[in-house]
Amino acid sequence: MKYLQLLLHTKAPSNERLLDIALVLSIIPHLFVAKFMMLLYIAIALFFILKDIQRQSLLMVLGLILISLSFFSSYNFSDFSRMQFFVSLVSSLLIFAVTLQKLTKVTNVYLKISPVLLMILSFFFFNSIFMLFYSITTLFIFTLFYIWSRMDATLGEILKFTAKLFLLSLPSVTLMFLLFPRISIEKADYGFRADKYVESGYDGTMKVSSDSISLSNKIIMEALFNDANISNSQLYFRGSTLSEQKGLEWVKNPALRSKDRVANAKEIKEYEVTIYPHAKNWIYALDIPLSEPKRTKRHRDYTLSSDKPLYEKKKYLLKSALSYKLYTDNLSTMLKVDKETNDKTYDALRYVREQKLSPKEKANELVKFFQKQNLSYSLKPTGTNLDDFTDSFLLDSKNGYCVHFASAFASSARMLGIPSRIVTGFKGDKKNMINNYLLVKSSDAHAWVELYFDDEGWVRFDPTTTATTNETPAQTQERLSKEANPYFTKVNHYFLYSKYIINRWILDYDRVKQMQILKELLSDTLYLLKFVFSFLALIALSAVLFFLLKSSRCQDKLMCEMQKLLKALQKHQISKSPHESMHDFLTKTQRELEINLEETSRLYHELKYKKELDGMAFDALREEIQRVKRELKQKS
Amino acid sequence: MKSLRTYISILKSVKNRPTKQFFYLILIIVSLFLQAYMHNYNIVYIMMFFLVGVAGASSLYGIANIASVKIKLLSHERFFASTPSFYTLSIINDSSNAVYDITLKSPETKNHLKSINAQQSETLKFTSSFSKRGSAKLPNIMLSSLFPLPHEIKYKEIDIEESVFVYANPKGASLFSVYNKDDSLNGEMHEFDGIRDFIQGENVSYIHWASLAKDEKLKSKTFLYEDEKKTLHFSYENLGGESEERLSQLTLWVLECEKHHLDFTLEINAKRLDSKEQTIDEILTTIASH
Repeated sequence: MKYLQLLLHTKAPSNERLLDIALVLSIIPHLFVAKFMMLLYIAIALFFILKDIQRQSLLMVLGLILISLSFFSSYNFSDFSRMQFFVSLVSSLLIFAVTLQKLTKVTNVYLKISPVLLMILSFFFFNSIFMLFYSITTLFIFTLFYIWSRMDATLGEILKFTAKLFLLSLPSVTLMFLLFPRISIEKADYGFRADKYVESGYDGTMKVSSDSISLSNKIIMEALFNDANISNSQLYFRGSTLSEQKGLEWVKNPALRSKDRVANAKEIKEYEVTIYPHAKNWIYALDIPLSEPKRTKRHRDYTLSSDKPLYEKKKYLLKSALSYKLYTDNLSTMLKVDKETNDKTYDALRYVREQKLSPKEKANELVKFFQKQNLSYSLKPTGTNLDDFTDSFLLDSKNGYCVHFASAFASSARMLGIPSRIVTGFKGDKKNMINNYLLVKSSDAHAWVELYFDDEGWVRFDPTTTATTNETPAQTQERLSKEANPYFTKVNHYFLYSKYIINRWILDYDRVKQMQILKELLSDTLYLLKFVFSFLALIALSAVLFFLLKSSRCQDKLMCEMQKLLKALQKHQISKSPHESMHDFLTKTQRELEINLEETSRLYHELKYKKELDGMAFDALREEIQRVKRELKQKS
Repeated sequence: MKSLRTYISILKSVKNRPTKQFFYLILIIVSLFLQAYMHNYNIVYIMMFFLVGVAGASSLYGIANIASVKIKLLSHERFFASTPSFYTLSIINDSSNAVYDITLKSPETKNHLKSINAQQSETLKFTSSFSKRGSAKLPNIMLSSLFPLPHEIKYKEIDIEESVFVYANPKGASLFSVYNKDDSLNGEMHEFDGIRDFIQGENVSYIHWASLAKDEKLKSKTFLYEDEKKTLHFSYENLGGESEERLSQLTLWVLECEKHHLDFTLEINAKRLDSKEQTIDEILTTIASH
């Protein structure tokens, strides 16, 4: 706190020092994209500058070598056409020039404009919320430095002043942001690929194993519905359908992919899905997607995939039917099952087969059979023999996770003559929903089963719900994480929600949204009123903050004390002119009001011309002012 | 409504014009615009809007910064035609906020103040010279500021609204070179009091020869009492030369008499002025008004 106080009372450093800070600030984003050799050069240059080693030619040679090496891997003619290579090269050369110039200790105009150029270049690399905050903060600091260099003020004062400038500009910035015309060219990625992408916990096939799994809380996607009116049992995001069983593995064989058709689509839901990069083509849509967005393909089994692997965050507007009938023509592969290997299960299900039941009734009996087995959900399955997996899982080990449940259920259904397939994807949880925003994590990866009935088509069954613990992987993970730190989880969830909203309304604001707002403004009076009210509220908020910052504490203690007297006298229509001396003013007032102000004048002048403020004299002045104020009150 | 009118009058009183930095700012905004517009980079848009917004807010601030500054004439020297003279101005900050980066420019002087605290004033010295004698108005002061951001300069011209009287340019032969052989200048001298430095042009009878012999320094004798019955008399009509030359000569003599505490009478414009009855300024004004 003491250091903060000291810092706030600091007077403006030299212009050279301010420029140094600005340069460091503007270089920061480049450090995150610079290659190792470039980072090494920056470290060496910094050492040269700090230690004042006047070997400019040595640094120049070192710089050229290290910069060439840092671009060595991508150094070919075709790379020059890539914007990323070009921008990286320009920024590296600019940093190189800045360090060399700094070593000369001469501040020229090029050095002065370097922070701005570096800032502009860094916009090519990042387009995230952090970059947004960083950019605004840096602009704030640059403005602060610019003003500070011409203003004889402390850091505290200049901070307040710059904040006031920004607050004053905030309503106009908001208005410009909303109304400034945009064109509909989609955001270019310049070939900048995200170096990191998350493993989604989903890889398009499903293999039964006895390995333990650990679930990650990494975000896979975010969904924003038009309203929060959706139940937990409807939050199944379809990834792919796996109809062919190859031993322990379930795969989708494109050649055998069924050709499905949707009928009686009801409960249509429109929503926006933001999928984080996972370097694959899959796009997850709520069961069952009715349309495909641009540059995506809807397959015959109503799964979606992107034309290109997702190397950066993508947003899709989707439309799904939550109630539907999904029919298919070719069911030949959906009945294939290895009865010999899992003969015990086949025998155990004989009583169902021998009853004269409809396929739907058989399916319900199968669910009951699963429930009777007292199967428990576990991320660390034990005692399962993979040679006869279904028998072992259902009759012996009786524990496993969604993959085990789905595989055993699909196989068992086939043993009952019901066509089945496995659907893999994500099962959202309403607990991860804030308003109409749903967060889907890696731990929500799930597998369930679809059984085919002639009259109803494919019907979803989630055998994992038959587990006695009745806890899905996501729930287990959530319970564990909540036990570890419940507040953190909640705060994190709200943080992600805010991030999503900022992303949606600020970073991804485009012509479509602009036109949408304009359309609403022109057609909906209530929306227009809300818009105007929000804008006025923003102006009011800026004004309140502005005036809160304006009510600065008194800088001249003596003058502030005297102000109390001057204010009291103003009520008696006696004001002090700025050029009037305090002595003249008090003498004049004494004469006009017939109040003794000699002592006030004496104390004021004694304090005014003393080097340090005398506490006792100050108290005496304060009491004297109180006395005068009392007298004034009596007079009035 | 009243405050709105006040603000509009402030806006009208303060003018602005772009500086070199304004064109740099435009260049940066155009660069950001191209970067943002081509690919809908909202971060870049936001930066661009903030630049525009902050520059606009800075203009408003800059206007408010100098709007409340007032100037008042505190004092001035005697002004003589074609001679630079000093005058002091009180620069008053009438607002409840400090004002910053104030430059004050008169036709002959430029002063800069880093800041003036709220309700405080600063004193600055200016120089001015007038080519003609007679009544003259002090020149307007151009008050300007680059605060807070230097993309535009805010300025206002302040009329000091003070007139001064410019006396004739004191020029010509020294009083002592003209009158040093004239006994009428010397009264009777009694009771030798001491010595002082010799003034060029003084009557040689005043020279203290002993000092010259001893220290080789030219000293004049001073007396406790000198007969003052012999008062100097100047007459405009008796002087030769052009009108301006005569007035300059008279002004010089009046000033010399004032400096050496010599009484005099002056005839001009059929008026007789007496240094015992009129102040020097009144006499100088009469000369300048001829």
